[in-house]
Amino acid sequence: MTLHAESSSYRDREARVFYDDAGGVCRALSARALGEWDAMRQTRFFQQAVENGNIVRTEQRPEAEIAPGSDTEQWARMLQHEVIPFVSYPFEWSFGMLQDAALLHLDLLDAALAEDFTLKDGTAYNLQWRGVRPVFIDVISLERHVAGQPWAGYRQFCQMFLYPLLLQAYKNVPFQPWLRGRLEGISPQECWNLMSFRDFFRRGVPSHVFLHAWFQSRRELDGVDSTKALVAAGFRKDQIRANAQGLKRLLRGLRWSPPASAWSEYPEANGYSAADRQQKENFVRSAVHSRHWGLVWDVGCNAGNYSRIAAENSDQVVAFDADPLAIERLYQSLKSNHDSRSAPILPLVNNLVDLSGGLGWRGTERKSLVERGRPELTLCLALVHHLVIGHGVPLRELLTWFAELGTSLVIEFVTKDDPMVQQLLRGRRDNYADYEPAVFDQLLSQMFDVVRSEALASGTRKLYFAKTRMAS
Amino acid sequence: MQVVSMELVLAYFDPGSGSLVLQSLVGGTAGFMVFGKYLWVFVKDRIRGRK
Repeated sequence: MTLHAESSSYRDREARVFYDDAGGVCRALSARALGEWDAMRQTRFFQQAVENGNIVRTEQRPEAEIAPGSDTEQWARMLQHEVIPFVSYPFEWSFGMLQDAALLHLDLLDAALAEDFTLKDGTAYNLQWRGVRPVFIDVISLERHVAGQPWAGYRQFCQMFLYPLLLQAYKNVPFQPWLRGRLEGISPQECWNLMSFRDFFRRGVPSHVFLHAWFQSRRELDGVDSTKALVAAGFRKDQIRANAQGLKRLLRGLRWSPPASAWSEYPEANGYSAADRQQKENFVRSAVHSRHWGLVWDVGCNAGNYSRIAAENSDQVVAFDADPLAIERLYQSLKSNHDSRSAPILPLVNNLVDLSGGLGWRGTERKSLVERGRPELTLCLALVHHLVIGHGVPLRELLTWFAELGTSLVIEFVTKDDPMVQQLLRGRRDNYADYEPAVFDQLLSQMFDVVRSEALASGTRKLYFAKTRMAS
Repeated sequence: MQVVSMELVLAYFDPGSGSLVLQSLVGGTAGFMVFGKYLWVFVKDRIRGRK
């Protein structure tokens, strides 16, 4: 058995995540962590959370299977985790996704404390998604609570969950670029600096932001063992539970009410006739049902109509859009209309012309989109004109990128006569000589096996189903 | 007051001294008493000239 260490799993010396040859996810535990795990898996809250799907399913691997240790790390036992279909990061989630992930985190903390366990951190990277359901993945973050100790993860929780959500709810500033810009999130002082006088009177700001920034800035506390002092002052787990419950009330009350964005109104404004829409749905469905697909990407998914069609015959659909509002609406819609017969759809905020590369330690801690899973099928509908004309991506480079991904494509080409393209060209010099149907046809045929193409009745749009030439 | 010696169990990152103290203030009414006691010990120690 060959094991490859997960590059982001290095901070906690009590455990380390590895991948095995078969794509399985394992976690090596130190002797101390094994003791915590043995105690924790007997608890009612843990068993219930696993049963409800709130904590990743985990089993112990045979005793003989131990990951290689090092000078400082010697492993006592290995766990085997359920595989999460597609790894995503908090800077790709919508407002409601971060809010729901935060609430799950607090629910687990509260339930754990009721049985004298706790969460030793508060990072958003400990959560992943099965479709639109958050799942807690770092089982070793749960450990026995030591009486009198405060919650070590409180600041981390504020930085990675609470402040990003406050920023978006109170200031209408999307948090995704902030979380992507610094993986540790927004500091108390930064959050406070972003608040106005009026914001001081909003829920959560005086205590969790203003006071937090003030306490953090007190140099008098440097070198003071605050844990010891709090234990001596009679701190109890009830205070952590009260804080967790207060945070839950605060988070549940947060709303993001943005003005309509260009993209969130797109389904109503996109100018399709009913006949065109039906024809397009039939075309996509026919391609989706031509075989069963593993991972499907729907890039520029907007309301997710075609993601839902892709989910009819695939294992996992990842629906991307650059617009946080479009993804928020899709998330809320999927949450309220969950169809268990379909493949899970994971909505993510991502912009193809502004994708994140590797981030964090060595640039490998948080992986690029492509490293996290290449799609077998990609839907790229009503998007090529935005990328080529709107963002200046050369058509050849765009198709080459798809070809090198090794994905089959359902792709739409919209001619320059179309009102939506006319709108994009307004005020620009048309130097997009490559953006012509004949050039598109030629390039696509060079790089893919075009199975089928069909012009929509309106005459300005053409759909293609093209298969990859890379062996799967 | 008896001072129990212990480190914050397995904090593999800096939890922030101020963030820990703040938890007494955001932890409900009983927490204010804890904060009061904390403050009293803190001030007493400062007056005695030790940290």
